[in-house]
Amino acid sequence: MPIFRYLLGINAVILNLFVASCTNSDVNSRKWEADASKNVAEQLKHTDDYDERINNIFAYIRKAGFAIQTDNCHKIYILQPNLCNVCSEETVKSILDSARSLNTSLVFILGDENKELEKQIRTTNINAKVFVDTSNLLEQHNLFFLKNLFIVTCANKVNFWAFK
Amino acid sequence: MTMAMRVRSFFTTIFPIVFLALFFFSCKQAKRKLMFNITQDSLLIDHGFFSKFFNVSTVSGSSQFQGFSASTNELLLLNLDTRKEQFRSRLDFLLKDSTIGGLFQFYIHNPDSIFFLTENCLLLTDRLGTIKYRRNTKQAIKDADGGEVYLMDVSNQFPLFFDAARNELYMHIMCNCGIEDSAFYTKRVEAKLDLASGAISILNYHFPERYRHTFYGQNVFPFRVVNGPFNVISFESDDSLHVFNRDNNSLKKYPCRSSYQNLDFIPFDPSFYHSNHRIDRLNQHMTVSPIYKKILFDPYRKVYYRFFLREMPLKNDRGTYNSLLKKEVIVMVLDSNFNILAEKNIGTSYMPYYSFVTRKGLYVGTVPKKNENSNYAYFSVFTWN
Repeated sequence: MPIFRYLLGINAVILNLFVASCTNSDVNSRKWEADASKNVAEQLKHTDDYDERINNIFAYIRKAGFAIQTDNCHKIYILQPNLCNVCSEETVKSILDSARSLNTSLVFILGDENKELEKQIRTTNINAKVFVDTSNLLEQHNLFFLKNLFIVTCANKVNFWAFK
Repeated sequence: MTMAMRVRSFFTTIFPIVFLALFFFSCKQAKRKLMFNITQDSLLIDHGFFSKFFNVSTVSGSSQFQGFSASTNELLLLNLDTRKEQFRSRLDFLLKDSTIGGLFQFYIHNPDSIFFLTENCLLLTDRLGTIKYRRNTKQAIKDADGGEVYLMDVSNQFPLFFDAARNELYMHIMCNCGIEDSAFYTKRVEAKLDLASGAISILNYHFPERYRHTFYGQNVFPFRVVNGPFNVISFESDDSLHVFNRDNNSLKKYPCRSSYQNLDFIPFDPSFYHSNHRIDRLNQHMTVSPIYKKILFDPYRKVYYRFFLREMPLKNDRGTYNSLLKKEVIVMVLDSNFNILAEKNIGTSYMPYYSFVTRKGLYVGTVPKKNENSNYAYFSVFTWN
């Protein structure tokens, strides 16, 4: 039959089509991944949005149901007690020492339960309220950082903030 | 040509072609189908011993937990199969001593031969801390490429390895320069100390080539496991495995990309590295990046486990930042030739840092739940068939 004459050529074409389809899909896929990676790298260059995030403190306090009158003035520490090196003995001591000298209403919000730290705060002669973010609302309000945060508020406004 | 010859020609031509076509048609390496089984286990270990310094080694077929408690200055050796303490002893010397310096890593070869790598020295002691060997490590070592490196480690993911037969200790080396410095990546990664002669030689392999051209932020560190003559190194922003053969001083790379990786590795803008909010920027970069982490060898099943943290979007649907602590953890199972046998997405509740292998399987630490007894460390144990 005449087809036998062309069989080898037909098979070679079929084989090349399979090989080409496989390598082509790999190349397309890798190109997409590289482009997507560049897009993400650009997203990471966004401008600082800390002021906007820290302004969420009032919505956070309301949602968490903490007994804090945000109409008044407060000095609020948001501590991350269970993150490595963020709440070391030294850091905590430094924070409590500086907190002792503050005259306005002090609030400590712990990102995680930590009985030792709670006890330490309460026994340091500081007249402070202590709350724990048991429902992970800090993250939901963009208030989760890998550092401790200090916020001064008065009449529902943030007057000052700093990482500690 | 007779009909018989034509038929013979047809089959001898077409079968190899069809076979090859089917082979390429699959487009991917064939994987054995492995089913994971998960059980739970817990270890009653004093919290202080489950610090960043812990090791798990396999000795005479048994898995041993090695812990050091900085608060009590004690060493613990615990047989994980029998759950019996082999010893627990307080060291005579203090690792906070200024002449010794802070601890980088330790390794218990046996109760009378314990290695400590500190900021200032390498010590070999017995279980009480009686020093049998001391070598100053404050001086830089000349890298074969002319640079300076130090015997040091920052994360204990590149464990000390002691080749007892040759009396050689293998250690991580680093330059005393920042990771944002491109010189960091021109250096070698591992050195060996001949304990008899004191000679240090540097193994002939480097960071991945891509690191020299692109800065990957905090996602640059190596993880190493040893199996026989092979030092197997996994780098955070490289999908290949780098395998150094100590017997013939050669390096071979094996492709080992997770099928869950859908993004190329993401560069970190160096200008943010020196900004006031560097930590947050690095945190966000780690959150969105695909990252390869720890690699372990399972001597009982003769496979490797490689952890991969999957990329995720910068923000979720609610517009809030995703958390680095919620990245999906993928376990890759590799055979002894580094072919991927299986992969399993184990979810977001695991801590690959606290992973090790015992006869029972791959132990992976779970994120502590509220109301769990804090005297215990909790794990999921993965096996497969």
